[in-house]
Amino acid sequence: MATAARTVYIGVPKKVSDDLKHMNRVTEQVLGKLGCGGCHSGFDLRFIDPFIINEKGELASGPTAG
Amino acid sequence: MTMPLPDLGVGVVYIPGIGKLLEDDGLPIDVIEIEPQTLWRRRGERYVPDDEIIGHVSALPQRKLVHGVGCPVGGSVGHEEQQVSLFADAIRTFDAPWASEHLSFNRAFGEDGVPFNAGFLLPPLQTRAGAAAAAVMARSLASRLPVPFAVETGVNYLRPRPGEMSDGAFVRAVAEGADCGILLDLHNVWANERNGRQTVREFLDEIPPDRVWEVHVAGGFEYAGYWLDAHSGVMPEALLELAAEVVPKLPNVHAIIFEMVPQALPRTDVAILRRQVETLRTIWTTRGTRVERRPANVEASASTDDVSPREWQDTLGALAIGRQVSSALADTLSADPAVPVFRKLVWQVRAGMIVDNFTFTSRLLMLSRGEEFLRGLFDDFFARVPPEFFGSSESDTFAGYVRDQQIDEPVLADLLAYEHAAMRVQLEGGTQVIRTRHDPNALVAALSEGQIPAGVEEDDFEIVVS
Repeated sequence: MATAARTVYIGVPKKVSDDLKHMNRVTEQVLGKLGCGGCHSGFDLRFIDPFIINEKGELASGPTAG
Repeated sequence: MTMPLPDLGVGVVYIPGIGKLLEDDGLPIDVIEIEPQTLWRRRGERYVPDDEIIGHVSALPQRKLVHGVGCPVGGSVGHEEQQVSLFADAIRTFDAPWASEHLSFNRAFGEDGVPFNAGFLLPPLQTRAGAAAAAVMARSLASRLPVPFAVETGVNYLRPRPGEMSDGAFVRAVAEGADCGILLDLHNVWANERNGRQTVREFLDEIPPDRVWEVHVAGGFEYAGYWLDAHSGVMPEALLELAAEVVPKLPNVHAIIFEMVPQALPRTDVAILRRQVETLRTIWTTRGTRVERRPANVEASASTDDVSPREWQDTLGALAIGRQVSSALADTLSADPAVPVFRKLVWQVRAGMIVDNFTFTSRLLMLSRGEEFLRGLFDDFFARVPPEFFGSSESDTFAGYVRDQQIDEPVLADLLAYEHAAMRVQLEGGTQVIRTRHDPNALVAALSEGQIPAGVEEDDFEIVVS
């Protein structure tokens, strides 16, 4: 007899906080993920060197801006 | 070329978090420049403006400018009708008094005649034919926009080519051919000089100063022997000194804009940025105060038209994404040390977009299989599929590719399915329902600690992502 699957609900962050001052983290995350990030005239420098994820599994922070 | 444009002052490119910079940190900003494509979402074949974010941007009290990053005018692949239409809409929405685009190209034709994305803004062919072609594209785009149009002076990591026009003469030829304004990106021109191209002063002697409506400044960093136009933080002091020297000589400049990518904001020293913005405001007050009336130096406008703009575009575009090309031009370009840098940058941009969306999937592969494996996976994927402009599109395709590889990792399929569903929810709203053998919460919890998930309970799960 087949058993019912266990249902798990997961919420992902809303796109934009109602408070402009608090848009930073969430919107930053969403814009970078979905938007036209690749055609910024600048580019995402986190992945230049070192590589994307360090030996601890953390996102690399990239070089210091100049 | 004098246009009746308003003086807007000193501004920044719109980046998420700018509200905090302006309100909490008190950055004295008069104008915000918007790259409209960053406010669109890709849904199938359509671009859909994100009205929620556009509403927030519109609510900022500063005047707005619109600076395109998806319809550059340095190539021959026609602009996408949707993009042009939405570009014009953005200008109207934000009531921008003028608009600008890059004097670069980002698409090319493959050997099969099908256009592909080059994944990066690349320099056009600097010959008279190249200038004429760019002028046609600029005129075409400008004719569709409701406000005056300016071309932005580009960064060019390539070595100067024998017989090509000088950088300044090329910009002059395009701007005069299109009868448009110039967005003088001082950081680009400065980077070009540092990287062995024309000096800034020679460049400025060759462009018509009365056509410069806007100035861009930015930060960058050194990589592989090149100063990169990375928009990676505060400006080098030398660039500010250059701006102080140049802006007084520009009779019609109406805005000075500081550019920075969102990823640089968290590590930017706001005190330094504020001081630099205040310096820009001082420089702004000197605009047009030392205009030199001088004959234009146009001696460098001759060129050797040994290749066509189309051949240049298609060859450099192909090389930038790692395709093999056999031709004399390809051989010449391949010998330029900038070509591997273009490839690296395209690679990094693509990998960055994927890792942003599939952070835990990437982390799992990194931890369980190692860096070389993940690099190899990206290498293989990038070799098969040309770049997409949008991170969501790139990630959609990558998800299908990873599934097809049938990598023997116990939780990989579930993790990828979860992250893919979460991405779709962020993109489209609503709810995604997937079936997995593991609870993604447990997988993410382990990976957040830098641990490969082990001993995670197996069952039939229905995951509702909303």
